Amino acid sequence: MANILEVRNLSVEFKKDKKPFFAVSDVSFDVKEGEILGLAGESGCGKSSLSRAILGIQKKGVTGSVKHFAKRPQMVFQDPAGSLNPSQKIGFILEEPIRVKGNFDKAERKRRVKDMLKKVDLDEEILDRYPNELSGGQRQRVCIAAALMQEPKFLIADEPVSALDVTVQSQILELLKRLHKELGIAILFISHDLRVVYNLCDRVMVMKSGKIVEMGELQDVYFNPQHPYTKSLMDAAKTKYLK
Amino acid sequence: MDKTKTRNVKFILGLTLTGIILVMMIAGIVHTPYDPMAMDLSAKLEGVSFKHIMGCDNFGRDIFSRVLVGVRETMFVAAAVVFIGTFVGIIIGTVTGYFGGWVDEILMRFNDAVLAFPSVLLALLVIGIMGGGTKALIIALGIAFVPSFARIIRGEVLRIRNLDYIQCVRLYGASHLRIIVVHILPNLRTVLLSSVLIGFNNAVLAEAGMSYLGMGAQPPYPSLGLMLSEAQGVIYSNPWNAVFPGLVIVIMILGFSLLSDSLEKKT
Amino acid sequence: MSMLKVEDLCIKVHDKKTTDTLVYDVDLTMEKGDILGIVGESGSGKTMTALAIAGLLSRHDMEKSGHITFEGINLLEVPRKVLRKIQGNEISMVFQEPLNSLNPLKKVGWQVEESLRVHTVMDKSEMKERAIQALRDVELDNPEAVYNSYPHELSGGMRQRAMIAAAMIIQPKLLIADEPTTALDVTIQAEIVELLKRINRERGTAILFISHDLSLVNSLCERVLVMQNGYVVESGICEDIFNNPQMDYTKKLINAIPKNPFFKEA
Repeated sequence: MANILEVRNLSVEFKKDKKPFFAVSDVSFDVKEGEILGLAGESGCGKSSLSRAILGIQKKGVTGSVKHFAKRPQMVFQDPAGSLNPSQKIGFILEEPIRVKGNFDKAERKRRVKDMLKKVDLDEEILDRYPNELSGGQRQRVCIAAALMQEPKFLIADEPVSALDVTVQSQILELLKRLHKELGIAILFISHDLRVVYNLCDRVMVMKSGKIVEMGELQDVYFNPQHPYTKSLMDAAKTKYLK
Repeated sequence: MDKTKTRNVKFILGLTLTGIILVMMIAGIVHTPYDPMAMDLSAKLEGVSFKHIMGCDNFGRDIFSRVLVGVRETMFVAAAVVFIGTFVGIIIGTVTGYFGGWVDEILMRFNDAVLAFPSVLLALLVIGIMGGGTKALIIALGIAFVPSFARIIRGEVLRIRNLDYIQCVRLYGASHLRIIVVHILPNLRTVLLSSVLIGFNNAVLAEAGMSYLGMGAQPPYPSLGLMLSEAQGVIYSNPWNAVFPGLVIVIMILGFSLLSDSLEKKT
Repeated sequence: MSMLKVEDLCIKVHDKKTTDTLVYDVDLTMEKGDILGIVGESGSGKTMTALAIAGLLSRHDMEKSGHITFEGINLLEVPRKVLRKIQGNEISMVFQEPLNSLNPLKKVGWQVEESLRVHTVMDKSEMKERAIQALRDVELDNPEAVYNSYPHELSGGMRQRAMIAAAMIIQPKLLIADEPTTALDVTIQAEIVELLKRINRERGTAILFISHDLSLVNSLCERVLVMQNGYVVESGICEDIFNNPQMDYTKKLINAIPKNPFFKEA
């Protein structure tokens, strides 16, 4: 499979109390076409800084190279409430990605929005509502739909289910799985939950203090971890999560 | 429930007082019982009567008519000042808050400098350059009002621009102009509404203060502040000369304050 | 007599014209040292139930009926003064988002001491000693440093530990934990659950644990209530329910738990 993203020696430097601080330090990896790559790590390990640097949202203090082989990668954030413009209706929000691109007329845009709603299992009546009238799960579906409107080939999902109830979590994960299969998009899936990563991803990277300490196939990393940190994570998972 | 009740009382009271002021303003535009500038020496310092319900001033001019026109004048100046303040404030606040960097540094330092300057002094400076009169007063107060608006807007834009949905829209490839106009400005309305109402209040006070000092409307043209200052000489013998314009200012401020207070929490 | 007995608890909220019932006829009992879980999706009424027990639902537009009897006193009818005393000495609560439940402008130590300050007469040095002991008890390394830091200087897990310390400093008989781990990393979640377990074992504090995650409830609690749309739909011994759920809703909650690769179809 060809690569859809190549990250080489990427570092993100912040100034914290006037001391330089590397949120991401010297990270290199590839994402292949159509795969789901998991990025696991505890909060504060630099996962979000890494994703922002990859997408160019964060530019200050970023060094190294990021090469995209697909146009317009999109992102789904953790907090679905903050990722939707509170003063616009859902219909407007979903049209915005293709309105910005400007190559469809109004009728075509409406048609595409309706198609997308079907893909993410939402009713059409939702189009006339505002984000605050939706449940957390519905909002996250809208976010995913909006991210897919430009038909990207690569999606970064930063803790997309962490703010949701377990039941809603599993529905959103099912949705991501299905969309991945139907659309063949590559996903960089960021999560602190090793169980979720295992159930969704093909490969996994483990991040600690801005560095990627281990990367490989799921089975290898989970059942034959090499780095001491990965080992401790897996041991914690064995003893502490039930079932 | 108690809170909503007091809020409703505030709202109704505020609306009533503001309503009174609006009626007076419209009367000031449409029709006043007497020519507010016509002197009638036979009626000099005449007391409250059916003919002159607020009495007459030192030159025999009908105070009621002068108050009506004064309200109109004050409202007009306050509205114009707030308009300038918000308009320029939105532009400066949005540009600095959204783009940040050196533009932000320069404009905000300048903003702070203006803010640190007492607004009366600043207005004096502008009026000194432009000469007195309503136009100069509007521009002077408008400039004095810009920094506080700009600061409020900047803070809000700074908050909104870091929200995830703005990042999403950036990833769609939207232009900065589109992000600002479509995705940021509409979300400023709550903050804007309350600051406009408070700003309007301050502008009313500032206008009255400035014309009291003789830096607004020029005599014989009536203005609430000017009337207060003219009444000063006769305050012991004819207190109504000061009481009525003063009362109207109080009603104005109180009405707007109550209204903005109740609206602020509703939205 | 049970320590806590809730009977026919109904919570209604009056919104201008319509009346919404958030909680219908909830019954539960807790003895000293019990750990009871309430599990359900958001909107199931689990938080409302917990807030009612903690005596924190005093909004005027809310109507509560039924009985909440804590050590023989009906909390729904008791005067405010007595309620405050019970809140200060017997019942404590820990909330979901530790950043919101701590005052950002005050040092952590000050906030841990707060309930001592309100409910007891104690000199400063003694109070500080107690607070540092409480912070040590929740397994924070270097409690003196935590005592002197501000909430934003701590990680999420440390903040939640500090909140538990603040709740435990009065040695309550009942600790109500409303989604205390939801905002945290999974590994930290497990640590907080361990901590609660230890507090319960060593001090005999009863814990009412509210969560949307049945796996967490199962790893901590003996008994569980499953709530849906304001009703208790299933209740009993945690393990039984987990292994043999009767209601479809409970099955749905169990199926939603992400499968752990290290426990293949136990």
